[in-house]
Amino acid sequence: MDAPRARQDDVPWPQRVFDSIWMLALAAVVFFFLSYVVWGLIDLLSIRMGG
Amino acid sequence: MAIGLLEGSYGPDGFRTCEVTGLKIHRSAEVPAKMFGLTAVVALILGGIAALLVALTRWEAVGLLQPTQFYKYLSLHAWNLLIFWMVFMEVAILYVGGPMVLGRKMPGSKLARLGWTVMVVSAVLIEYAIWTTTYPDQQPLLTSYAPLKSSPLFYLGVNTFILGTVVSALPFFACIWQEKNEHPGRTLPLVSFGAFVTGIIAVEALLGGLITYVPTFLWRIGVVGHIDASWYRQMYWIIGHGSQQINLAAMITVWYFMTHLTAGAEVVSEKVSRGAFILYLFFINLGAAHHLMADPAVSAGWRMWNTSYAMYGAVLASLIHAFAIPAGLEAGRRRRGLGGDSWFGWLKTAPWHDPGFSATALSIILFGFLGGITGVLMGQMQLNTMRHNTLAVPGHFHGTVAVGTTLAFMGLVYYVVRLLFRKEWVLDRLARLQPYLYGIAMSIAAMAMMEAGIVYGVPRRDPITTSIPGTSFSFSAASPMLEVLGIAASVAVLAGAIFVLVTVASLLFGEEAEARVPVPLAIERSDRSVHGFSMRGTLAMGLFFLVVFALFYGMDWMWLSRLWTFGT
Amino acid sequence: MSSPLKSPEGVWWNWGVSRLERTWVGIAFVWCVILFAWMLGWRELGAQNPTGPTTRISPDRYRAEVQAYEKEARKTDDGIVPPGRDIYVGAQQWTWNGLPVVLQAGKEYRLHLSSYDVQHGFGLHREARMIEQFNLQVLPGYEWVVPIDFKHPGVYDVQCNEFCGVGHRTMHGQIIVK
Repeated sequence: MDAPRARQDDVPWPQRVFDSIWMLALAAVVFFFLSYVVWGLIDLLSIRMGG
Repeated sequence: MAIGLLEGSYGPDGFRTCEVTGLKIHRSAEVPAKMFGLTAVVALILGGIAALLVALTRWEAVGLLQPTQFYKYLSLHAWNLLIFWMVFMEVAILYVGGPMVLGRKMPGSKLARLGWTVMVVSAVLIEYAIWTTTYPDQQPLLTSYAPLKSSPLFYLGVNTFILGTVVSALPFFACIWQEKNEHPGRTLPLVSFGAFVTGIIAVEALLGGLITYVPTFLWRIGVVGHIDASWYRQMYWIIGHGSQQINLAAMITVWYFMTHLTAGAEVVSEKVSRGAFILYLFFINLGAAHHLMADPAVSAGWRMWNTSYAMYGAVLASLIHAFAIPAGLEAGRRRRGLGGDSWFGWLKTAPWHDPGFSATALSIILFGFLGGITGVLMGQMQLNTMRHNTLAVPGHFHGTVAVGTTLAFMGLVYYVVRLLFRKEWVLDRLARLQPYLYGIAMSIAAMAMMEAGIVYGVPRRDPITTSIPGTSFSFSAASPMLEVLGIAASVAVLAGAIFVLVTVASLLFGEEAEARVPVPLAIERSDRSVHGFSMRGTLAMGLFFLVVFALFYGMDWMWLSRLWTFGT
Repeated sequence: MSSPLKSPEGVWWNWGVSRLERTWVGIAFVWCVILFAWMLGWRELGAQNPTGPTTRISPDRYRAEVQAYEKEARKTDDGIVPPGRDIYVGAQQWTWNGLPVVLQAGKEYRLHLSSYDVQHGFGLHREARMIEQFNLQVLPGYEWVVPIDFKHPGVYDVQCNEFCGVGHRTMHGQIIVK
């Protein structure tokens, strides 16, 4: 932790993405909401009345 | 006495330095961590007692409890172990993985106290609600499936418990926020990153819980008129399975931590391990869909996409960690010259006598083979129809939670006693034996449940299956398996009691712990970078695991193909 | 440098990954693709899938459907014989309305499932060989129609396996396939 930090421009973008934890968290929660909740709700709402 | 246990000796700035790990620990993080850890063990005790009563009932030759009592103790067993033992421990893990690993103060530790109080009061309320449930209310078990009604106090308690947990997690997130703001170019240590991912998974699960239980509570007290059963199931399982995915992420974080601390493991590839945690972050909670495989209403497409965690993205993550952690142990020990150059010397010479290590190692092996494989198999949409609601399902999750995560947390608690409470272990020989006794006994119990469910279709949540009123049909053919279950589970409860005995006795009567750095950590390491050291032993074990996986996979699909035909 | 407790320094993205670890990740990825493809493939081509059309229906309406069906069915000593290819089963605390039913092996039926009250579990077992089983969730408010075709004659037992109250363990029914 005493060694010099890498300059920001030296850091490749994938490492910066992996370090952008709040952005990752937000993206993950949005993805979950769409993939699991919204898609599932669409399924439920598109069931027609029977009988 | 309790207050004395919680306090430690800190400098005027509130910090102390752990001579074993080198971590700078502030009391604002350590005191709450101890509080939550102790509470978790109390829940373990309650859940363990209920476990014994449940096991001695499902061992139908003993048939201890009548059905009404059975459902009460089953509910207490589920809530105390699947939820309280796990969640209180996980909050403690957040405090360890965040502020303690980062060497920071924990902001808002008053919130930790408030959250803890709300969680404890809520837990007591839930236990009370279960204890006093009378007709027409039914026991909630774990899932409290609407429209079967449980006590209003139960739903209320669940909601406040969720809120309390969210509040308790806030100091952790605030600490991470501060760290990232102060050091924008710095990468979080892997354990802290794992804790962060665990925290976000938890927030998803908890929000799902509120979406489920607030309307359900309102329905129960008559404010809301109707709860759709399918919507309930879909929403419930966000917290139902999500709470268990918190366990998975926390457990894996603990595995990295404990293999390093007790046996000298290192991180063989930061980017690969972090990539795996990110896969978890995005995909792991989709697995809530596992419980809706045999459901009407939700489409096949939704089911297959979500049950597979988006094309098995989260399974890839698990397989990565399953390699990276043992590989880290292997390469880390080879780098320290431990165990010679053979294929498995690094493993054979590992500290198997140290309950912190043995619990962790057993957790890794048993979770993978028992819990992991069965989870993926049962999560496949069509295979699930053979297993849904049978005893194979508890068999699976006893493999994951009761064996895997519980062993990992037990190992962690042994070290919490030594490093946070700074007490030496008493009853040393019992401590050494305990993880093996527990791991083996609980594994046998889990396998007995799987066998009973797979081979005979014995239902879960049913206290008397070997004789059914009104018919000669029964599941009595499974009686030998239920006997194995009863005996093995009883031994496991005994081993759990030994764990509690050793830890409590150490807290009360243990000597001040010496600052003994575990041998592996103290050894000078070679200059060569860790990923330059062989991981062939781990690869061999990994390939063996995949072969076993593939065999069971093939077997399950073969059984399915022989069933009557059904479906569109 | 590579402790899980310390911040990795510098450009850790460019640190080498051992060949063995790469190999493992590659194999794991292929296995994951196989798992996914097999499940999807079976959905399209396989003979066992927990799928079928779902419609919304109120418990009262479904009960009326089941009763209408029972009226038209032929009564025998072993159970009712469906008038056509539709089998109606109504789950209620704590009995299976519509069972016992007598079916023909090798004939494709449409199994209608719904509940009059709470959630139930349609746990079906071939009595002669209990490893042969399937388990479907039965919900109030939804009618699920699952096509089904029994290859082997014999007795098939239905045991509810979703907790539905105190009488749950008594909820048994039978399907006789001739």
